[in-house]
Amino acid sequence: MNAFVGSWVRITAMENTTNAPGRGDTARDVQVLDSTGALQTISSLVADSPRVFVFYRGYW
Amino acid sequence: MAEYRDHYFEIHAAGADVAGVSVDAPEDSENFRQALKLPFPLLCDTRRELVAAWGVFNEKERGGIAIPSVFILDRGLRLRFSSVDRMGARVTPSAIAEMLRSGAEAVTARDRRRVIPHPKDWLRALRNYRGARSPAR
Repeated sequence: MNAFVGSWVRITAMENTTNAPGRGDTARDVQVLDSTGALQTISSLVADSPRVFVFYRGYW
Repeated sequence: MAEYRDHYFEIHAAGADVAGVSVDAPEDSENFRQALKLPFPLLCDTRRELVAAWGVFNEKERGGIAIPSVFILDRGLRLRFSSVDRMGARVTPSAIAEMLRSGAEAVTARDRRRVIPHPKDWLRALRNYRGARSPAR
């Protein structure tokens, strides 16, 4: 039981370990296509108002 | 993403917009957008450039996919908020809407919904953990 709990603690501690930027950082501007095939830049998407970017695993 | 659709008008009323991001191809994303009737655009980071630049790239699954996460960007590309989901807890769209409405720049632990992971999520975490421990070949 202790081994299971220990493994689980290690798994969850490693889960989603990222070097994502944090509050106050400046995000890198990147060009990406949207679902209509149009090229967008992140800076153009936030030119008029703040935007919530929701990253998801994908559609399959 | 359906939850963000359901809270889209709250977020929009708070003065912000929404975009979904995955590494899917445009045609798959457009099918997904239409199937869920999403009122906001979906971005297709097929080159994995954005997920890598923003530190949310999971290279261990399906050739590399996005780690579920949320970022709020102001004009000038300043990050107001970032949150990387964990298997057992994630920030909710209603907490995001409330944060935008109130002008706060953080959510409390209470706003991170506790979720019971699906067995598939447990297996995925275990596979990622074992992959991370294995020496590179």
